[in-house]
Amino acid sequence: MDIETLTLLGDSVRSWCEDNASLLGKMEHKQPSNELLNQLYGTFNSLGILSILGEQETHHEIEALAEVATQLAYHSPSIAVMVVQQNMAAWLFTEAGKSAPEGWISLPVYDAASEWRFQINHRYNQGQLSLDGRWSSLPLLNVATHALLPIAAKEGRDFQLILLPLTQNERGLSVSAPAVTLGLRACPTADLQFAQYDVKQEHILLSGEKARACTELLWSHAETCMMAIRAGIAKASYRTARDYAAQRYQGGKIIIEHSLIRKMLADFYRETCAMDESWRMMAQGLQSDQPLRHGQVGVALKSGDLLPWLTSDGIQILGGVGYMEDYIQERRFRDAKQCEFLLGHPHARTLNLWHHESE
Amino acid sequence: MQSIAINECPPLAEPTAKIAELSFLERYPELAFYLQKDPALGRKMEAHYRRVEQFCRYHLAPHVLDIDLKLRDDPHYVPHELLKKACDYRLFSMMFPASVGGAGEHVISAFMTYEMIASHCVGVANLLGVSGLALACVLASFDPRAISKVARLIVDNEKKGIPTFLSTCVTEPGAGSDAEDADEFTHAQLRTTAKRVPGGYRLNGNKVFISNGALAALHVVVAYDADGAHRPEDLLLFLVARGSEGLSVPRNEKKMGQKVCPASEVVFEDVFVPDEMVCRTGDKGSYFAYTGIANVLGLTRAGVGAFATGVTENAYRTALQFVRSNDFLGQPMEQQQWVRIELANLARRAQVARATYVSALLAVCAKGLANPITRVPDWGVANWALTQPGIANVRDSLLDSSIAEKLFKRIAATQTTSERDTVTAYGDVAKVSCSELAMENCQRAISLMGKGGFRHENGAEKLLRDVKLLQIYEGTNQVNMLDFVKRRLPRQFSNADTLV
Repeated sequence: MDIETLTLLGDSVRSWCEDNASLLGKMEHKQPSNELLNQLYGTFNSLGILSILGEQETHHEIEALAEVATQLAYHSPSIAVMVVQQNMAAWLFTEAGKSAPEGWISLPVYDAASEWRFQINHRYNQGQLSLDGRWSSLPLLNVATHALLPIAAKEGRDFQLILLPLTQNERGLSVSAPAVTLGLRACPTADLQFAQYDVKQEHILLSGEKARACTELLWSHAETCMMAIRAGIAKASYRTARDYAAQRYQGGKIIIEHSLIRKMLADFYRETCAMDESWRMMAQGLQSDQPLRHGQVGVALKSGDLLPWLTSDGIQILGGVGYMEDYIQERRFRDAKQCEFLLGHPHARTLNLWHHESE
Repeated sequence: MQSIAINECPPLAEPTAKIAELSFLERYPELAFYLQKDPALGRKMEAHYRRVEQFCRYHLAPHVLDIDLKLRDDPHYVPHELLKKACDYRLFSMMFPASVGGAGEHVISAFMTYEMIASHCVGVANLLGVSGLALACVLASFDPRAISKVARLIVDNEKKGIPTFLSTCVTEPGAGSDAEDADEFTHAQLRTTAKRVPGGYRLNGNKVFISNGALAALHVVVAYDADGAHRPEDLLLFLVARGSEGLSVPRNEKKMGQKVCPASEVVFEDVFVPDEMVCRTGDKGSYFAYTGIANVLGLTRAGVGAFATGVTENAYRTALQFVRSNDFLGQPMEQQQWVRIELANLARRAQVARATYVSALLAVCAKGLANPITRVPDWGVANWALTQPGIANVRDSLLDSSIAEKLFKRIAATQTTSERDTVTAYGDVAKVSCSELAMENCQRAISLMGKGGFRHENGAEKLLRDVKLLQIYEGTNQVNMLDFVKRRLPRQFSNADTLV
């Protein structure tokens, strides 16, 4: 994807967000209805941003998706996560040589590849794959038509990517009520409960070592998009803080005239620039058949660590106003913390990174 | 495309791991040194500690998350049952001397109470503690008549099971953290004014983000004398009763956290305040403006330190509960060495926070605003007699007299500038350090818990929403540090007052 197309894509998403700012704000305040989420699916599908990775996953497409994600995250990080998740699903369908079903697909984007094998119990009963346990915090589960789950063996290399249709009266399969969460409230999560659930053969989308490798590769490359989401949140929080400080008075002068505040904003801006540049450099340096380099994973983890502190400063500069729901700073702080867990537990990923290094 | 209804599974079972609470001296071992000299006080404090522990365990902890959820849907919800129980446990009058009908607990005990309640829900601690801020403002006026008026209202209502809240109306749309700084106060754009009229004053102005504004029976209002020149000595302090004509609370703010303690806009439109509801703040209010605010902040910022310590402890306990009930990469979390070190660090920060606020509290008791309260003698059985109708009238007449006022002001005058600066600087440090430690603990607890950390039912996400406010109220941490610079560093700089 050339730079002009990328810019055009970014501009059109930004323009859509600005036109729909009120809707996005409402969605983030109160959990949106399934009807509204389905309408959004239709809108985004027609805009073509749900299948950017659908054709093939190259570094150009990742870059384009990350650009879309950062623009969306500036206005609504939840929707950015939904769009990235759907693209990840679209790419897995392409890998399987199948067309994706219509509607949202739920993927375990809060779990790292190293955590997949500990989510639920699975066993074979006369060659039949049977699942037990509870897979928690799956985004969009209550509205999705399907869940796409990587089922990995606790020991050995056995791997299946299964596509579960979320239909009524499916024996052994149930979904919890949406969880009340800290942030990303427009992208609700729920738990999927298995009770001796037998996976039908036609539900296995991909299996084997190659399937595992390509799914893990997708999770690795998706780090770029999650970083882009974090950068979008940081930029939004920084700009709100800067604009507020430039307009309001404190201690007899405009807030931004206090050197303490200027220094806080300067530090904030430095980190925001670094976060934005990091995902762009990472996207440009991706190799289609290789996972992220260790240094890149380190940068991604660092961005997850840093963002909650940056957005905390974003509130601090506004003072009491920043704590109120009428201003968006408090939401960015909540979203930022939840974004720390995108693509898995940060401690699990850190240990996994070191594990590969020590090997 | 239609939404699909599928089988619904129940929520997860609550974790069964029980957390052993700390005993009184395990939590405050440093107090053992002081209490050796006064064992009776030690026994009283410990008994109070146990009562508050019981209140938290049976009446607060089981309902905290439900209350938070209700407030998400309805910002006007008030947990009446809980507040009625707080009356039974005498949490509203705990700081008032028994001789005026209060529970007669030591100031240190009151702070421990706030810490313990905050270790379950800092919003509830704030709900009760905000009244303490208002009381501190009244106390700083050193007007015994006003103090006894407030005390009587709270004590009498508590006996009837009616929870009584106070609010402190300082912040305005153009005056935020600067209005919570003793020296910056003059720069704050406070527009609320009081015009002298026969028999009292007429108040006009808008106050915002007023904690307990919607619940308060009595508002403690800071306003400038309309006939003055907006100098510190023109500041006046008023007690305005709920229901006063012209007083309105048009809305409650929607806050990220601490939702149980409503923050409201409070509007005064030509509100008449009779002379007996005006705090006598000395010559044109100068005592309150120049020393009173600093003294109030020394006390209340230490109080925020106590709140923050409670949150720091809660973050540790919440993570511990989660760790004891969950696996990490296929192994029980509690059996992993690095997890135990993370937990140890959470506990360590709670201990550091406690030591920090207790040191500020001891300074306030020794040389600050709490000093006069700690000097009120406990007359034992005579306390009962002093609260009986006939004798109580004599007592109140004495408190209303100018003799009492002179005595109170003499006590106030014994404080030196250096002592005041030290006490307030300790308050600054307690507020900033404890709230930072609390924030660090909440962030780290959630990170440790992974995706379980951002779910409401596990408690940690509420902590993160709640904790942020501790870095904002009572002056942002930045304003606190600037105050600290002024009180502790002026001797190090030749031009400390010319900061840009």
